[in-house]
Amino acid sequence: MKSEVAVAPADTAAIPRQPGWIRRLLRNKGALVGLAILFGWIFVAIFAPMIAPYDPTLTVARARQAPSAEFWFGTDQLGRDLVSRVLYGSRISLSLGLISVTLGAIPGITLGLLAGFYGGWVDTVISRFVDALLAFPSILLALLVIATLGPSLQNVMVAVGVATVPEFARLTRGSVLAIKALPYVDAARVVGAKGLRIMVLHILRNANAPIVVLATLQVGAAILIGAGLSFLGLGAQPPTPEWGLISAEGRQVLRKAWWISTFPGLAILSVVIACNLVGDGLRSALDPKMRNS
Amino acid sequence: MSGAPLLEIEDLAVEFRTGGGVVRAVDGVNLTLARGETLGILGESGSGKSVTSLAIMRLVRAPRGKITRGAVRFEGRDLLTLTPAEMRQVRGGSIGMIFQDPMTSLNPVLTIGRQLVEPLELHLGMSRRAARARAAELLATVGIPEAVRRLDNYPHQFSGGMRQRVMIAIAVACEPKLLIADEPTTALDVTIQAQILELIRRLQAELGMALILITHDLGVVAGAADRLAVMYAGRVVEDGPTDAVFANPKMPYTIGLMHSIPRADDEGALSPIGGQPPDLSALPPGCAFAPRCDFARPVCRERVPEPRTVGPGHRARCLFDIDPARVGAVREGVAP
Repeated sequence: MKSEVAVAPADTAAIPRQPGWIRRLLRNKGALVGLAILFGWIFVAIFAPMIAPYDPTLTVARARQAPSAEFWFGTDQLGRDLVSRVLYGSRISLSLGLISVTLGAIPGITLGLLAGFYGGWVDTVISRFVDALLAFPSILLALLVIATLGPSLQNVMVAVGVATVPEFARLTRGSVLAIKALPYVDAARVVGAKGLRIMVLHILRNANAPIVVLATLQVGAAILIGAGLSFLGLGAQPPTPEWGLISAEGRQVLRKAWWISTFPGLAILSVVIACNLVGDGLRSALDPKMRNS
Repeated sequence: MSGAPLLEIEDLAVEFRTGGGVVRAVDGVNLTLARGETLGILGESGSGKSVTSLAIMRLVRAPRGKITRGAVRFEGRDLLTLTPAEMRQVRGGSIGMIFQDPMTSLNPVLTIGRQLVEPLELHLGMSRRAARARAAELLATVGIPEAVRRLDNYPHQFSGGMRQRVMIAIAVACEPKLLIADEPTTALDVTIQAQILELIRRLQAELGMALILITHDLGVVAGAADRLAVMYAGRVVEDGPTDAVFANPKMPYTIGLMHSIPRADDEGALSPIGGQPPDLSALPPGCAFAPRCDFARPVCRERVPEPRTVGPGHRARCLFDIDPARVGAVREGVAP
């Protein structure tokens, strides 16, 4: 009986080698579209001076011209070419979205991980702090930071980052609490793994799906908050071609010149949708169980 | 069974603080285990058998759960006094452990190979490459075909029985002196159960490990264990050589357990133990089994009976000498 117990026949069927998560991501059509849009914008951001037909800060034509063959998106109140302004704006909005989310995600995830993993007084201290931050609307929190640091684009990134910290912390803590109780975490302890190793390798890696999705959503939200701050005069300063700022400038003349607000708005929309598509694809690609879809 | 025991648990107590009060999950457990020996711990859900094994590994979770007293001496060292770093060396190094549910005991986002390599790197300081080669050997040892290729598979690509084999491979990777198997077959099909038990026994013989086999399945311990400890409400109520405990159970709870096994030669109804297991946060002052015991007398409810030697190496926590044969008579209403 000793040797024949060794093999259960059902499991000997050949199993193909699994592709990496990048290849799995690229097989997802939505993610592919999202990536294409994002890389398109990144390309535009890098080569804006070569692509844009005009200088985004110079008056090149009559004010408030409707879209035409010469000015595809029309011109704004000061007669600047909107195509050029939207193209240049991608530099600011994309970096604002990505940098501020990174600035918010790193401390947020760290706080959530520590709170969820250690529990007890560590959790109490961190969670109360996060609750206090959550009590403020993000825009107010960002305003508070701007009021302290002074208005500038860099400070907007910091401010938006701070405003997204509590979201990341709360989400991460919740995921960690759920995963911490699973047997494989105990199994890792039983093998002799250290706290840090368990936190990162066994807990965080299993908690990454909701965090990645939140991060992609937050890129869109960060661009919107940044635009809001610019609108209030606390972020990007005119004549900087920031999408939110352009959109805000056009708001006053929306009835007469719909194009001024609409095109930067569409640009924001495309980036936010692209981020969501990529986030959704990433979530599937990072989950080994969803690999076959 | 000569020389100092490998493992000696002395007066171990574990408490959990809950909303409903303090739960004494383990209350004064004494157990010893010699090198290479197999100890079966038998008990129903909540009897403290799993908590005992977690306490040996010092995995009882603070702040809710706490080891309140006792000692766990392993090779002469009290594990409860080790530093966290020393304890990590013990876990996975000289004591391996496998859990009940193989479906959730493996990290779903890491490959089998990655998880097998972990103890080898942590305890034996092997290089990635050497550890991988050893991991493939281990997989082959536990009976997984095409081991080298399977290292790159994820847990969900394995069946339950296969995953339990992987768990066993991880647990024995560093050739521990003691393997704790907490209900290793409960979540598996009956046919797979036999295979897994056979595998554990084969590895035990090959590596000369001692084994603690925790189960609620009498059939599992009957064939595998040298000695048996029966737990009830956080206490060991009877322990002794497996044969003696099966042939001549002395504690009414054990007797009840033996009678509740369905028998091929008896077509009558099963005879279950009446009543409910006690609430661990409000244990009666005397014998915890007294409220369900056919033989209980007033004295049973006054104090907890101390273990009494009832045969060679055979002890029971019961004040009376009960003849197992008479249990049937009691059931029919005849006084004890």
